[in-house]
Amino acid sequence: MTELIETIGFGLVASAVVGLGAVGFTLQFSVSHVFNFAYGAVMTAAAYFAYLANVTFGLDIWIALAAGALFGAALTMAIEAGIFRPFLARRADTFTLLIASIGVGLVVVSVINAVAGFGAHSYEVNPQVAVHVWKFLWTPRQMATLGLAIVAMLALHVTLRYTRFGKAMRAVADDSDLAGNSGVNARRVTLLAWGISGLLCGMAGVILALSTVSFNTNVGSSLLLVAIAAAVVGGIGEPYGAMLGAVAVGLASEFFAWLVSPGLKDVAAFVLLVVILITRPNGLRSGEKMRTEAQSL
Amino acid sequence: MSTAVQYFFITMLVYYGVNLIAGWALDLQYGRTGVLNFGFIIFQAVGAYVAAVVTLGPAAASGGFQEYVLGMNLPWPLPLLLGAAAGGLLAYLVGLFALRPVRRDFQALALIVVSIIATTVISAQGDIFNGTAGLAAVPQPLANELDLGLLGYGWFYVGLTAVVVGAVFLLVHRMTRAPWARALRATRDQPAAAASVGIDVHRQQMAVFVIGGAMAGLSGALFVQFIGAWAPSGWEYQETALYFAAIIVGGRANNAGVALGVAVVWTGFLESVHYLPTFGAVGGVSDALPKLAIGLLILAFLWFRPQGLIPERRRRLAAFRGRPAPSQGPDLAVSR
Repeated sequence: MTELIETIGFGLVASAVVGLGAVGFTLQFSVSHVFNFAYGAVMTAAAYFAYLANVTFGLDIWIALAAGALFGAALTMAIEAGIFRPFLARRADTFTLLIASIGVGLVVVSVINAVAGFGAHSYEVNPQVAVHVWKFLWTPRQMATLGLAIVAMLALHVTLRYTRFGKAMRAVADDSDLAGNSGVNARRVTLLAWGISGLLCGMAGVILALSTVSFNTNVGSSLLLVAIAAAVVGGIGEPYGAMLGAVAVGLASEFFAWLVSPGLKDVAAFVLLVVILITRPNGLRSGEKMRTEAQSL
Repeated sequence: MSTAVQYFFITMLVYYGVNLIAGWALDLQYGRTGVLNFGFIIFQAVGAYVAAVVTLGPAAASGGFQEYVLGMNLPWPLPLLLGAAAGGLLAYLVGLFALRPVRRDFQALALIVVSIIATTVISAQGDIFNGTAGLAAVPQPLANELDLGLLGYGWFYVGLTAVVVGAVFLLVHRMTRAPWARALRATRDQPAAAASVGIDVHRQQMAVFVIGGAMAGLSGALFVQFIGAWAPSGWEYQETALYFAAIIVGGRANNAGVALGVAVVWTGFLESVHYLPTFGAVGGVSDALPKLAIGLLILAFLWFRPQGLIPERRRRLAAFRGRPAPSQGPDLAVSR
């Protein structure tokens, strides 16, 4: 019984990290209707930028986390403005955008490899002991991760529901032309939405790198697959769906690790994705709009 | 010609042949049918792994320093055929769920996930294909029977590769000129319209997925029997991008374009970059340069020359020859 509760606890922590990644990924899709496969590379870049702050400049890890998140936001906005917007402006088709995003991902990872090499890196943090919080078993850092994720999700929820900018974002996500005609600066909203998503992406990347003993340039791709799985499971383009999907994936992967094998954690996310693709190919929370849109793609 | 130079050419030619087959496979899937196979590399990998384990002999035999499934000693050309079969079978199994979504960007999403999962599982489960270390000491076909020496065998393998490439080319040439190719084009450009005239879009996608998967498996088998080793680090999900680059640079949906693209990307970019003087930290700039160059190449071509070096042949009805054809190509509608 204790192990069950502990596993749920680990699952929640995993959901927190995955959630940050998944919500960020799905936000980009909701406003631009395109998958950005450079997302994993940005996670890696943020992790390395935080390394720069933490190890090279000796800053506290939480400041480094903030720095990584901000770098993620900046890089993501640069990608949106420099790559996606120009291609979209000349009416490039989806194939082009997707392959371009893969190209961008390659460039970003290669630049990191050129500067930082191919080896493993570790942050300078004190090792921590897990403590019992009620029946859960968490390290202080894991609890901070959970707290950070909850705060971030709440902040996003408040922004989406109660601010004008959030309304504008939802409008652009729904119909950018109509939003433009209604006085919303779709370009600016899109850029800022990508910025928010980049912030989440950066946070996810740094936290993931923090949670492992060492990381290399593959850190982004491992989280990318799980984040994509969570986003699709929850219904792509729906931030609340992505949060649900992240919880499902996080819990499933920890249970899988407990009952089957720790090395195959990611397989749980994969299995969930396959099940969703077979039963509801367009996601859990996707609705009428997704079905009618599907025909033209 | 010195031994080193000869061996350089041998390697170059075999690599070219292997990548050409793989390039045609992906072109069939993406260039002609519009299936965004972002997990392409795993089909080449499975072909290589299967060819390796059916020629390595039982795992326990040579002191058991490698762990893997199967373990036979099959003669050539069985490893190639089994590699192709493995690629096709894997493609069928993956296609069952990855091609279910109607939206092709969803399919791409699923395929990229499959690719990442494949490296994760094979690396973690060491008893399938020897995990991260991969397989080594894969015997070269007919090496003992022929007893040719390093260079002699090398040229022999070039000949072998040429024969296989020729056979594949005949197949591809026939397939892409058949009426079936028209159905594929329709599936790529206007899937809704194609469906409305009775073309089963999903079935076409599955068909090219399996055929392309088999071709990719064949290329992997051909590859591993030459280089003798295969490990997960050699088929990370980003490797697929190299094949996409070849198609984008050379020109999609035409066999000559793919041939040119493969030459430019591999021989031109990847190999030549290795001959730049090493600078930067060990494993730093010079090792990262090839992938960086490919990424930039992809972006440059997508922006400046999306149709590739050799554009797809525009087809006109005989009745319209001489008059401007109605515009073709990807749907440029305003929709998202």
